[in-house]
Amino acid sequence: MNRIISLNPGDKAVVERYAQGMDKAYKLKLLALGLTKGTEFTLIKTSPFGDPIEIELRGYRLSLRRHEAEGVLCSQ
Amino acid sequence: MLTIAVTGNPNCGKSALFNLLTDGRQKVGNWPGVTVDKKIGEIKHKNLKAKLVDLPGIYALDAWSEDERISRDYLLSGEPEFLLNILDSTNLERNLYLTTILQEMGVKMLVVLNMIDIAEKNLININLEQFEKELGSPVVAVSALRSGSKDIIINKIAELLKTENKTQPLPVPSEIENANEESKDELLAEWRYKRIENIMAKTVKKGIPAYAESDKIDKIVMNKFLGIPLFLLVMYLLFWLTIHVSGVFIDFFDIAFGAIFVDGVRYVLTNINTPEVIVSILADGVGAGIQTLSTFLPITFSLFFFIGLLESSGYMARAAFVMDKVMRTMGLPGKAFIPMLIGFGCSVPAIMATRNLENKRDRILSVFMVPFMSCGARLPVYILFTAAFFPSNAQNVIFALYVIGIVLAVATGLLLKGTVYKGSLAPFIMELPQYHTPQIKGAAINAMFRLKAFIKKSGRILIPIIAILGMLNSAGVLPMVGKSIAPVFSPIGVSEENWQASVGLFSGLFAKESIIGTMNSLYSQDAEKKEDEKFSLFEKLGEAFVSIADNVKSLGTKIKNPLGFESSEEDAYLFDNMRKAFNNSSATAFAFLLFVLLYVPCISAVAVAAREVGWVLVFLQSLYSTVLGWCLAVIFYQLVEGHSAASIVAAALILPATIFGVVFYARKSGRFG
Repeated sequence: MNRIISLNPGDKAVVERYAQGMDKAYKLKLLALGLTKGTEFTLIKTSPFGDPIEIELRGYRLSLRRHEAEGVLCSQ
Repeated sequence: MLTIAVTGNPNCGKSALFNLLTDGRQKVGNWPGVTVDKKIGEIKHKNLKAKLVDLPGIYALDAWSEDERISRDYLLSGEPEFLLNILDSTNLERNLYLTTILQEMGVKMLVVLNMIDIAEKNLININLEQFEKELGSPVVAVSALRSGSKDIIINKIAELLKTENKTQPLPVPSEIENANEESKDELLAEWRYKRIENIMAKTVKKGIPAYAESDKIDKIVMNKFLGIPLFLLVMYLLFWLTIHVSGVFIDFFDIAFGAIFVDGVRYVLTNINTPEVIVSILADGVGAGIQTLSTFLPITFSLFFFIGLLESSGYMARAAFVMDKVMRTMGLPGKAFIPMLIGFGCSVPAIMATRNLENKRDRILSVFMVPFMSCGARLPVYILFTAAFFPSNAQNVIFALYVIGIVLAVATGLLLKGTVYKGSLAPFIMELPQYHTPQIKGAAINAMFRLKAFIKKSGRILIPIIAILGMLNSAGVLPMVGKSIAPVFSPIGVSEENWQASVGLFSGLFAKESIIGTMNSLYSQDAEKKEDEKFSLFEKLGEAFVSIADNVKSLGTKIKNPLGFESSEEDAYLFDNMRKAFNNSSATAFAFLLFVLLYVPCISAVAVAAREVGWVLVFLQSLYSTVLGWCLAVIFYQLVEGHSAASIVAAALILPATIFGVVFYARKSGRFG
């Protein structure tokens, strides 16, 4: 099991599940934006300051803060 | 009349279609219980007459955010009889998520695939007929830029309204309905996306990668080395254009509105023998209020116009992406950089720009920080004082004041982040849209909408306040007030004989640059009587137009000499008076400037802020920054010159007590979101 925090630009990963006790509003938004179980995404790049990150999923781009997205457990 | 609601994801081109359908004419309304402005337009077409209501851009209807709550409540209210769901054709998969939720609710709607031209250019192939069948809702494909799109949408709505078939809610599988709380959200989202994937697989042929063009631009714009300098350059341009384009017109509005609503009203009323009291209420009160409001129109329009251009281009999201890490240290998202920056020009539009922040706490935090940015109206005060008291290093003193403002803004951000918002900062999730050509017309229409909202909503607060203060002023009450509050400033070295300074501070409530004019006229000992100028409306209006040309001409010199230092003999006379009044003490002068920087922002900023965060918090902010200003000014003066231990101790006690009080209230009251 991997965490978004350890991915590098260009890496692909698949959402496995959500960690327990994640902030409900945050999780609902991620789900609405398409980060559902089994969804493949690619880490495109990081901001010039190193964070947030830009990921591609379902044909579009999303930016997230690494430590906030920690609860999204994925596999490479 | 038939009411149609319009909804869709952010960045789906919704406002461009809204403008197209309503011919760019929009009214400002209210959503119950929130500050978000409601955009209302009308469709006037031979086949359809309807009221169109724009809902905020949303991704779902979970009712966790203000925007989603507004949308959900409105859709369930029964007021809209029909719904337009706008989708970005180049990003269908995610855009369809909202559509499936709307289908579950059983809302009667038309699905509009927007930006179909770009989808075609990207070789995305949608089998429309089959797509409609699989989705189970009527669909049209259009582009706001393509002629005929308006007719396509309107005729389809008209056709659908004629067929009375009820829309059946899409049933959610019972095993999901009955799942436990923890997994239900996930299962529901998975089920919806599975369905969407299925529809997509059957009916949509993927084209070239959507972000191919954007990635090329981002290679430069978001480059490790160029990204930050380019960001700073774009922000500098935004600031420069906003301030200087509006600066060209500000005198025009000031003079023209003054001529009509103050002098003109006075002239007409006096000529028909209206009692002086009524003349004063209408001209010096209401008229002056309208005049003050008018001076903010150019900057409000130009700010929202340029922000609109940046937003429609897709760069705004990148700017937020770049700045997020820096702004986060103060507990704010990257986007909050814009209000802070605009604060250096004018707090009024800066506070209005906090509206673009998603979370209430981000807006409150910004409203607390923005007034610390030294606005353009404080600069002339600094220039005059530094020219009189620090002639050899005026620039450094002014620079120091700007830095102090920024430091205190950051400190305030850190304070609230560390206490009130401890560990509960709003998470950051932001879509990075593709780059698009900036929409000039769309940005102008949007800026006009913001302008209307400003006039309608802030005018209601601002005009009465200015009216009351203006009447007190013309009745000669202000000098009395100034004299009575003068002792408050003796610990910063302003003696009670120098009551003119306190009157100046009082008039600074209208606009901080008024401090100069007031003190100037009070110090001129041979208080020349105001000549009874002959009033000519045409002459004044002529003058107003000439001011535009003059300001355009002076743009060149402003670039070369941004602070506008110049001195004349008149100034020498005024400087002399100022030095006498301030006992030749540069320490007092600096302490005074510190206070000018920090005390209550002008009434206009307060009025606008009240609209955004409510009177209680605005009062708290004003109190906080004024006490902060006073204490710092006292401590500075007493350390440098006064050497009164008692004053230092008093200020050093009041300061933390106030900070503690604000934090205590903020945590207890629950008003901070």
